[in-house]
Amino acid sequence: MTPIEVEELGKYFPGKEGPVRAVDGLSFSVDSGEIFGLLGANGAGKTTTLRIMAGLLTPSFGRAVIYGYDVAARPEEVRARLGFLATETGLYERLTPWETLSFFARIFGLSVQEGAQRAEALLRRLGLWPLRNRRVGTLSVGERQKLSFARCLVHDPPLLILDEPTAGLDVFVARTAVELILEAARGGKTVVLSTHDMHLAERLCERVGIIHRGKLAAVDTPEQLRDELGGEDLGEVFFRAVEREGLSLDDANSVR
Amino acid sequence: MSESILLLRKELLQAIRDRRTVLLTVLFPLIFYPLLFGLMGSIAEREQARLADIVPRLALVGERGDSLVEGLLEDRRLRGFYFADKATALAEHDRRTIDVVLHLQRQEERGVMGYEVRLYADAGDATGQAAAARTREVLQDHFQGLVWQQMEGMGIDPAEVEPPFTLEVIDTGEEGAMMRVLAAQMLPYFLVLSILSGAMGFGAEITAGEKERGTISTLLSSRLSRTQIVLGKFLAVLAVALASTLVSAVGLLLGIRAFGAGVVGISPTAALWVFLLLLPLAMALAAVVLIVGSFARTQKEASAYLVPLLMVIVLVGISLMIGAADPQGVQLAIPLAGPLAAIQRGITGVLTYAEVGWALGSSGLLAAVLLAAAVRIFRSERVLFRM
Repeated sequence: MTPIEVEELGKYFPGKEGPVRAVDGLSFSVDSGEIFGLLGANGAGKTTTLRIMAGLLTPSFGRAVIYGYDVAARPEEVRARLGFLATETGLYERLTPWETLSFFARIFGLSVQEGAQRAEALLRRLGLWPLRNRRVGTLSVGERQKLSFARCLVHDPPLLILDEPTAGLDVFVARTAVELILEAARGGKTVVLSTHDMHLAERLCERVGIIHRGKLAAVDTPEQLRDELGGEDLGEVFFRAVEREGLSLDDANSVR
Repeated sequence: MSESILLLRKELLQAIRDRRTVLLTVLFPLIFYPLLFGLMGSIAEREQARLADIVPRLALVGERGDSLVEGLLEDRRLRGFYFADKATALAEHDRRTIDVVLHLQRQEERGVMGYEVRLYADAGDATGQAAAARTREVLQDHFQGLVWQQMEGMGIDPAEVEPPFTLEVIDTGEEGAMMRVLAAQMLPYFLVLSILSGAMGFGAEITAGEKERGTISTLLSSRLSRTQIVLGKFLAVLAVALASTLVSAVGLLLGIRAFGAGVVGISPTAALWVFLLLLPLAMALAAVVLIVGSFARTQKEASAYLVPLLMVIVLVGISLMIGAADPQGVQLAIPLAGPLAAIQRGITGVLTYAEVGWALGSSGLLAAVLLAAAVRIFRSERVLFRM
């Protein structure tokens, strides 16, 4: 079964001068164990797309089917199968890492014992075991990012949806994040991430979707896109794809 | 439900670790109320003692050499000062150097000498009232002395004609009844304030605060349904609000005891009524806090939206406390005011079962409607992600 199938997906948001199309007819699919990147500038529609896929927002038209479940119709079924990392770490500062993982393990249906085993394994693997009883609020940015990943993985979901997983991180922490994503993929997990960092996408993603102003300008492997559109790197490919589709290049400057 | 309980436990764990929540819901009522009432009691006691022992500064305006004028000037229960004219005496009274001005004019009526007396005192001031009362008391003694003198002059022995009246005032109230009335007046107001003060900050933190910090996306992407999330958060707000109320009640009763140095005579039955009537009210307020918190973008915004609600509660509470409104019977179905008045009536022991029904029924229904509205609002992505 194809884990992710997105068909003509669209989302309107109310605006001062009428509805604004944040996502406009996206179609793509992601295979099992693949790392798929949605590339685009700020405001391109990446976060909205991921939020729809995670069941946080309902689509205005089209559909996203995750592991055979339509997200709009069966959001709970979909959410049970994914680990979602928002742009913020999404951690509770007054809980400890141990409590955080135990809580999320339990609300994802794991027993106390299973939750404890998973929490311990993850904390040990990420080097957070000595910090397990410290409040999250006292952890460093890197430690928090690791914990966020652990939180996504605690119920061992087959799919990870990561919104800008390296945004705002220094190079050391970003490197850790990249290693964690690669490790998850090696472990057989499907990963969909959004980024406006073309170097990161090139390094991590097997396939990328270039999204601009809510529309998908191109979808393929970075190599294929380079061959097809020309350009030395994915950054150049991005601009060529946007131009090819006749989309305005305004707002595309935040792409690195 | 078990998932909601997991969320409830998580929220409560965070609440216990939040200094502001602990300070507002536990330490503040437990320390502040007894301190406030103890201080008020001590001040009131001292003021009462001062007023009981007051020796009024009396300005006497009348004829020098007149027996009543001279008698009053010499009376040790007063600090009399003679003034030749009333205007000067009143000017001194205005400058607060004099408590009472007494203007005495001798007059003869039907061949008997008497006085026309005018007493000037500031009735809007406790000292003025006490000084006037003391002056009247002293004046009565002097009047009686004059009457006796006149009777003796007429060859009548006053002791023979004085009627053998005695008056003894007996308090028929039960022991602690006064304290109970005081508690009935104040408890509902303070308890409902405690519900809101407990629910407000914490409720805003776990709703608008989650949005502000971005943790809401984490929770929404979990397996919990929106209804389970709202239910878990609702139970957490309710638990904190009730804990705050319980602690406030203890603080308040300790405070009233410190104030009156007496025992508040609330029976266990009355205490049960108070709890039963407070529960749906607390549920309704917790739901309102959730609605407002879910709607607001930030904790600050949520707090700003909740201030008018606080003002309404203060207004209703004060109206009931000072007796400006006294709902009874079916009127106890009025939201907020009804249950509060029912609590007052429960404490004083005049609450009927029908009234309990009205108050419980209306506030229970209101709580259910508000909770349903909270779930509906929490399901709205337009509200949750405020577009």
